[in-house]
Amino acid sequence: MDEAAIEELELSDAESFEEVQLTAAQVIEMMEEAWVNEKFAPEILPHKMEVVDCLLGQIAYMEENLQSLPSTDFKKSIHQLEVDRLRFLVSSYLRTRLEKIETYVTHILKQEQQRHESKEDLYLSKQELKFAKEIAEALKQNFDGLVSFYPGLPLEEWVSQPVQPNMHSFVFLKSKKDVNEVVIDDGSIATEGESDLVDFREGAQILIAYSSVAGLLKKGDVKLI
Amino acid sequence: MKVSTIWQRQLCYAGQLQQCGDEVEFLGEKQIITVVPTFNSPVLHLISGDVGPFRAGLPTNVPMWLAVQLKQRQQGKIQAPDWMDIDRLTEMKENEKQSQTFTKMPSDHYMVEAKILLDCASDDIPRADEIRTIIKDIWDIRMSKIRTSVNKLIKNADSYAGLDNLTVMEINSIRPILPHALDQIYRIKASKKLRVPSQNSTTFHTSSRPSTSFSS
Amino acid sequence: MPLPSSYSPNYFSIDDILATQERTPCKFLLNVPKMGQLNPSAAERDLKAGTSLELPLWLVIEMSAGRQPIITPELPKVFRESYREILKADACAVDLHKYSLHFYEVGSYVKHFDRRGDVHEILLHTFKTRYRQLMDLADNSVSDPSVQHSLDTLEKRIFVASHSARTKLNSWLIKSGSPLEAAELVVNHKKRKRVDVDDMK
Repeated sequence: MDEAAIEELELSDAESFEEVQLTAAQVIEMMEEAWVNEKFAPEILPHKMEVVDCLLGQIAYMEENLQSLPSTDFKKSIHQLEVDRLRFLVSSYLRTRLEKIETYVTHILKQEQQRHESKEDLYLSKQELKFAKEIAEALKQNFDGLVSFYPGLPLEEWVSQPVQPNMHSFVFLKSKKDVNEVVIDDGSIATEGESDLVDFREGAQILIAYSSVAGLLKKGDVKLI
Repeated sequence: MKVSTIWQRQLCYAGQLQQCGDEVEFLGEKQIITVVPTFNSPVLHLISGDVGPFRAGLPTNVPMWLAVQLKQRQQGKIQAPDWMDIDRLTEMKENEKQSQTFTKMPSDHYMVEAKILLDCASDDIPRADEIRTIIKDIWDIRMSKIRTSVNKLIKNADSYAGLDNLTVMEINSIRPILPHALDQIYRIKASKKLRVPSQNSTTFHTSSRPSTSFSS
Repeated sequence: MPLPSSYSPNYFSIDDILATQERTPCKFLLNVPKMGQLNPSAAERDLKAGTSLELPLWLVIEMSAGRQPIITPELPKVFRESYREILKADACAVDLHKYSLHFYEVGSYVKHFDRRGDVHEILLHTFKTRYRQLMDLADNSVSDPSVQHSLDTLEKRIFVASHSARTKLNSWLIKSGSPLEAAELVVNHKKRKRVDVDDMK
């Protein structure tokens, strides 16, 4: 993607921001859900930076207030403990995403480019996109450097066969509402058109291939556990 | 054919570890627990919501991580959750033994709660040692059911399973072995027709009816 | 913490590279000029049609594909009927590691040489049958530790990941309650804190 494309991306990123009134407790819940989803989904999920920012705002506000309390105040240590717990949540979430970006960088950038072209929301945040591009650039330099030592190596081959997440990996999930007729992806190509279907009751816990439920997860109908 | 670089190792071995107990514990520590404080304090405005006010001797509900803190500073006693009671647990254990399926646990984090509370507040919980044993029994009964179900699941090479009433820590106990084994079965199944001209090569067809729910 | 993904081969997978290096028997359909040195048992310059050789799997796949294949691939012996019968009889008793280091990976390639699907069937059967053993092993409830050495690479991978998860869970269950332990998570946060701030900028 070129520079102009990045700027456009940034714009669309800002536009997609929605104002929603939520309590801090609800925000924490959303963060926890996003964290666990991200941990167990094989691919990178659409980013939840509005939740992250909101929670970080809460944390910053609390930390500012705490400074005025004497360190002997028992309330201070309790607030501090809560802040530390929330910080752990946020950073573990961000870290997991960074790790996916590092592992699948070529694949992810390709997908983001496609999303950009079809005017869909991007999955990466602005900063993550920047990080991804830096990784991709470093990788490219590494390979270019290698090729200068060993002329004749197929330089572009690794780009055309990027490392991809295994979208069929099995995940545990909990259904947040009744969902009907989920197609079970069982790997057998033979049964085209006659795939098995399953209904999820609200609250049901299921073990199934991620590819069967990726859409539902992004819509928020199910959550991973 | 293939270019290998130093990246290989990192890419191939990325990810063999799993969510460990500590992280499930982290989620479980949000469970609400009743404490009896030994101090007075107005409402605490935590980010996750208000707790208190605290009046010495009056039971108050707080998240478990806070309850543990108070207990450790000797600023309160912990009240065992209702279900942490010998009679109820004995009944639960019997039901679990009788039932073919998994019975519903009183808390989605029963093991985390039991472990944390019995560890830090065994002096506040009557008959703590007996409770510990009986909860471990229940856990073991459920674990052995899990093993049987998992074996059946793999034998049938099912692509779907219902796991109702399993708690988070129990699900964690079959991670990563079960999903990873199913991933490999999927790979074997899915690669079946690759590169083979559409000639019929089927002597073996695995059906994957959504039947073998764990709980069946 | 690394991503919890299972093995799925990609361009950089060493296991996949190693598996496709395995020698695989094949028979030449055509005369190939000047390639006689591929056959160590003959001194001729040209390779004659009908010669049987063992070549690396990746080469066999390439040369047997397309409109006019140069060779016809054959199954490595561990995937032939006599060995399949042994696996069918008791897959758990087999030292799979001796059969092939990359039994399932090689199998997934060579099963396409077998039009009847018997190899496909035996791969599934072997994996499913041996799973129970694998699970026992991961739970550490097996008396004979040498079983571990009879796993192929893929099984070993699952075993290592599962065993470490299981050990962690068990130590969590046993870990007795010192006040220190509840604070463990917090200690970790503090150590990480500086890095976290950087992450979030």
